[in-house]
Amino acid sequence: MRVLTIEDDRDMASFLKRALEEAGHECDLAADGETGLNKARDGDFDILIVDRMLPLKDGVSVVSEYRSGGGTTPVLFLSALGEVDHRLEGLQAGGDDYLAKPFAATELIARIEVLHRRRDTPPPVTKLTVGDLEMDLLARTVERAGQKIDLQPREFRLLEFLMRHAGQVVTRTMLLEKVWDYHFDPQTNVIDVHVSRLRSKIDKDFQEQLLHTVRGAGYRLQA
Amino acid sequence: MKAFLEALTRTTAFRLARLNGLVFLALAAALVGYIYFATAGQINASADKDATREFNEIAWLSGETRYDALNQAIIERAAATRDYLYLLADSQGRRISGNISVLPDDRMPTDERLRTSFTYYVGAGKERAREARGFVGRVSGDRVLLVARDMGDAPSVIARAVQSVWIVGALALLISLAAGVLASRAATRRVDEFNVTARSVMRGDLRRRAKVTGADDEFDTLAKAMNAMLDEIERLIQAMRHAGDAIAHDLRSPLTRLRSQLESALSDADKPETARAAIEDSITEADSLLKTFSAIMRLSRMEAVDPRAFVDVDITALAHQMAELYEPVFEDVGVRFSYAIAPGLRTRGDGALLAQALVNLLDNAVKYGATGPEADLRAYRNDASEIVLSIRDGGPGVPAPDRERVKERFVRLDQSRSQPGAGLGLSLAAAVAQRHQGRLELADGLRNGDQPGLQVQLVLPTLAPLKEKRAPVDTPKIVQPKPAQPQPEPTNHPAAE
Repeated sequence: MRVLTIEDDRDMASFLKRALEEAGHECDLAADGETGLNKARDGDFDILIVDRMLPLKDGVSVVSEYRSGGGTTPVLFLSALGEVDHRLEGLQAGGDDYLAKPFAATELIARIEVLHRRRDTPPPVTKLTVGDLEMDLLARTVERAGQKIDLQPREFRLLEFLMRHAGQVVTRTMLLEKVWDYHFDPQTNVIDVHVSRLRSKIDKDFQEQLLHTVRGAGYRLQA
Repeated sequence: MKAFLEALTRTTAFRLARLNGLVFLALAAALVGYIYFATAGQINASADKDATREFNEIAWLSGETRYDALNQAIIERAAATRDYLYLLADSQGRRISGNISVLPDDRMPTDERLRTSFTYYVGAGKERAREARGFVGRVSGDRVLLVARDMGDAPSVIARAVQSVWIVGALALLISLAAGVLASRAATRRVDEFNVTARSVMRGDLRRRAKVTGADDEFDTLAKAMNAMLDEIERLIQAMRHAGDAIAHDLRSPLTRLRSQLESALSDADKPETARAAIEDSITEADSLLKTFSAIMRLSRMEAVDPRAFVDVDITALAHQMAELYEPVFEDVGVRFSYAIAPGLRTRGDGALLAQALVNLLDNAVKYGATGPEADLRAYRNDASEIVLSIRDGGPGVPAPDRERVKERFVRLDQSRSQPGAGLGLSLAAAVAQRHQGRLELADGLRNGDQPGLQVQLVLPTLAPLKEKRAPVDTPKIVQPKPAQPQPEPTNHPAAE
């Protein structure tokens, strides 16, 4: 996909460009808010990555002006360390996700892929299917190969998130944010423990493993 | 001198004194007016009345009798009294009889009777001026008659009274201005002291304090408040210096490790596998450094959290969520975890901060309590109606002498050196507690053989709920006695949901 990165820090920008290109995406760069806003309006991009602090025009203004001009491309905000409190401000301005620096390249790639997928969400569904795993969102039941699987409510939500993003890498931070709605990172491997519990319920008695660990990044549910 | 005057007239005390003086002056003017009308007005009115009566009597004579009788009457009356002044003159204004020599003004009266007042002189040699007031008019054909009442000393008495009031007023104005100058100089001196103190603190002399004179006046109150503020600032700066030292000390070793890892990666550049491993280690090291920085920043931001932005937080729900989040983690390290959470625990606070504090405490219990068989989380209201979030483990615990110290930043006990972390978890939880006007208490936990275990209690006061806008309720409120809530015993629970 085509990504526009609006970032004034040259090292950061080249890091982003490399990471995006290695993941098979095209990356255009803008080094200040004005240029970035113009490029975002003129170009045909799939994702905008916007740093909060920019020369000439800050990231929040860029995005809110872009949105009020009718732009619909998903936006991922980047913020410097310690600016997490501004998360809400960024989302209110029209951002779709928020990532605090520093972050691993895998985290960034995982997030923009999820954002991009979300853009063309299919109409609301009542059933999710990955391989022989089926989830009924109305009856709140899960079956694999016709065999009923009992899940606790939180496990159900965790699996639902993974199924909605089947085939994509989701990181631990993303799970903590989207499934638990917590915005801090625990020292211990809380998420791993929950995921491995879920895995034991959906994969244990079956030949084919659906829930994969992606080393150094997170998890992927894939048939 | 000019500058001094300008500075003086700008001071508050002087402005107040000036206002005071002006008010006094206005009062004096009012008093003068009153004295004048109460005395002079009264005297003049009574003199006018007497003169009118006398004039009427004489005029009546002139109507009834001949001119001779009129003349006679004036001569008699003028000889008999000194209280009245008479003058009968012909149509040209020339004196015919009476006890004054000429008409006091050149005006020739018409038929109308005119009011007149004049000064005349008595006595030979030492002439003495006297005031008189009366009427002049035509009588008995075209003759002119003047009848006036002698006013004696009254006008000058009045004038002196008025004058003295003016003088007193002017003096009062001067005195109040002078008092203002003195007061403002005294006040300015005290204020100058404050300024000197503030400036020297700004220049870096943190030990400087404002002088408290012991007069216990408003300046002393101000000085005490200022000193208390400076004490707090000094304490904060000391704490900051200490934290800075601690940060430097604590980050040096991971940074050193990072550097040596990178160096070995560089020297192993020709052995890709080894180099790769070294670089991966470096990233892990850098990540843990960044985590430490995040924790430090979270701690600093805590100072900026505004208690006025607190909202209603459902502690019961929060505790349940945390227990649910950590239960499998404890299970994973082989610790039996149970929890008992009283219903309906609410307070005002910052939900995210409280969650962060609980996460830190639970993380610790997982890390250090893994050697024990069990751990638990309890949430209840204590006898003082405070909310207690208690986490106990069966780990090595913290010896009593160290329990205050471990709450400070970067303090790690020797036995925990092998565990990951920067020694900020407890201090963050303590800061969260403090921000909520609560406290963090450490004690022995679930004893396990020779390990005392650790209990950490986050105690929160029940803050008054936010004022809600409510429609007035007409029905009387039924008050139900609440049963005392016993402290719930931890139960081994199968599933909370």
